[in-house]
Amino acid sequence: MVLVGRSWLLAVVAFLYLPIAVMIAMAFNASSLYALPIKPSLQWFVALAGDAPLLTATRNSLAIALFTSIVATLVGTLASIALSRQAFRGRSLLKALLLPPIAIPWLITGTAMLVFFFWTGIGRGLHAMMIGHVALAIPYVVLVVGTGMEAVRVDLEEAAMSLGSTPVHAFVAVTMPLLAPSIVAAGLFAFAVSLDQFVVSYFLSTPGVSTLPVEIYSSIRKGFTPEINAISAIFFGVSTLLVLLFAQLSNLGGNRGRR
Amino acid sequence: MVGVDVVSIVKDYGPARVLDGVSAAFEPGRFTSLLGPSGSGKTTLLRIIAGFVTPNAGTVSFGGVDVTGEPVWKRNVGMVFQSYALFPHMSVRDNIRFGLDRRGVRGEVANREVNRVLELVHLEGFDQRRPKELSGGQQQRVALARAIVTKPRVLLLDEPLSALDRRLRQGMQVELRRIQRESGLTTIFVTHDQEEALTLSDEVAILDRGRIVQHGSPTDIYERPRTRFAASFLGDANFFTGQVNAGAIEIGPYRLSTQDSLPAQGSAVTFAVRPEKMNFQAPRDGARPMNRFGATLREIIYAGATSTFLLADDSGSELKVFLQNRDMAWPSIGARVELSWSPSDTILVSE
Ligand SMILES: Nc1ncnc2c1ncn2[C@@H]1O[C@H](COP(=O)(O)OP(=O)(O)O)[C@@H](O)[C@H]1O
Ligand SMILES: [Mg+2]
Repeated sequence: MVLVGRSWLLAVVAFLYLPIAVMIAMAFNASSLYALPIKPSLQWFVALAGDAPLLTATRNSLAIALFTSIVATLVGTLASIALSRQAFRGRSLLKALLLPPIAIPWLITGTAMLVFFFWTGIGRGLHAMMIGHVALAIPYVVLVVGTGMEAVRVDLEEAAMSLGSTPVHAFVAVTMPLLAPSIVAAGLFAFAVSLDQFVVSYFLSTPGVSTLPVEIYSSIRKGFTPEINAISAIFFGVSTLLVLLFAQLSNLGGNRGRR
Repeated sequence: MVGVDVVSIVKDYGPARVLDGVSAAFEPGRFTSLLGPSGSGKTTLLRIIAGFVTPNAGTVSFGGVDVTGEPVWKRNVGMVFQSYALFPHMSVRDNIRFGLDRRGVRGEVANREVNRVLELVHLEGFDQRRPKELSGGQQQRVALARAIVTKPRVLLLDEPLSALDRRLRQGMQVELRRIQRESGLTTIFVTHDQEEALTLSDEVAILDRGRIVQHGSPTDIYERPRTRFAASFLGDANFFTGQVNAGAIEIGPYRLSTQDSLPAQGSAVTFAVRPEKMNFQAPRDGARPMNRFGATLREIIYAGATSTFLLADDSGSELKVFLQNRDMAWPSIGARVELSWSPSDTILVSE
């Protein structure tokens, strides 16, 4: 039984990682025709440095992801706090409305944004992508911070107030430190959501202004070069790091709050 | 050390009246238990006294000063929560120092105060631990230390022992009482455990559906319950209903007397008799007139030092008798017996 379980798991993992492993291996192969055996070389990474459109797109992607991460985390965190600590009319409706966007296909969200931005005059470009990504990332932040908030029991704040804290001080001294890992995790998640976003970015990009995924896509259409493998390998590395950090932090937050 | 007075407190949650005109005086330095079943409004009353909840009507005062409008952080209360609510990201020392810091007490002075209460709760040497590195009983004591280090005007505890297992709980009851005596704090303790209320308290206030139905010393409430609810919630009781006739209570062929004053001739009355006040035969001296009542023995539950006897009266209602296992000369099951008890243990209760 144990053996079957393990080989099954190995097969699943191989299925998940094999294409990526091949891609990464080829990024380090001198041959552009995927010839074996692999002749180790960094030439494709070096070539990246000279690819101006790709570098610009990378800079755009990072700028959008950073902006998205900061703004979505701020807005989403405040929303989570309001949802879990304040009693007001329509709260459960608002709470229910914050999550479905996660399940809406990006194609639909992207189309809606494109139409809406055109109609309102916001148009396309860097600013449009920033707004779009923030909107995409907020539900994830609400989800992550909301879960963290559940773990910080209300009676901790009440205990602080019984000891002389105003509600604001209780929040700053007790809730914030306990919530911090969740907030950082949400920020990372928002960053990753933005960095990996293709559909919405594709719709909102203009010929001069695109993001890394969009740029990769268009260069594939122009003709595949192993440079793509190199940039994708880097991309994969960064994304994996973010997700691992996220997993670490959200786990930490959970353990701490639970006591 | 001040007293706490609540006057005519009313609290509604939507259409539900949770507290219905509660008035009570908590004397300075006394330990009072608020005892009642789940949902009777104990926590709500405690949270109104603390200042977490604003009553719809009525006033709360500390030492004669009205504090109804003051928020909890200005009231200077010490509160121990059922879940302890220790700050998980702070050491034991920082948890205890929190309230001192809020009052501007810092540095060496604060450290001395922390050490003083750590000694009081027997937790010297644990000050650098995180709460999760402590056992339930130790967390409990940290919560208590944190609540009393600021010398609050009143100490409020909401079922603080209910998360502990039985043995630890009994140990903590003794500790809690000792700490309360040594600190001299006016204490209000919420519990639904009648035994806990009886053993710990100077006074017990019984809550039933948002009202205090009786408030007095444990012996007072146990020996002289005023309502059927108080009699049955605090300890066991046998209830009888009969009619007043010529200064006694008539139930079928039996005439029972009481030392309580009876209502008008012909009224229906209910009285309670504690199971340990009853016996199977009248005392040998026979000088005092005893109440007698016939019943059939149904079951004997032997428990070492004592036995519980379950009986049925002529109408089939169950009666209970507790006896010490001194001579073991019990009637056999199914036997017809005559119960006897003193008129002074015949307590009139209202329904
Ligand atoms: N915040 C609240 N909102 C609505 N109902 C409440 C609230 N707090 C308490 N209640 C209701 O008030 C009643 C008394 O509750 P509580 O004071 O917690 O009782 P106890 O502590 O004696 O178990 C219960 O019926 C409870 O459902
Ligand atoms: Mg309660």
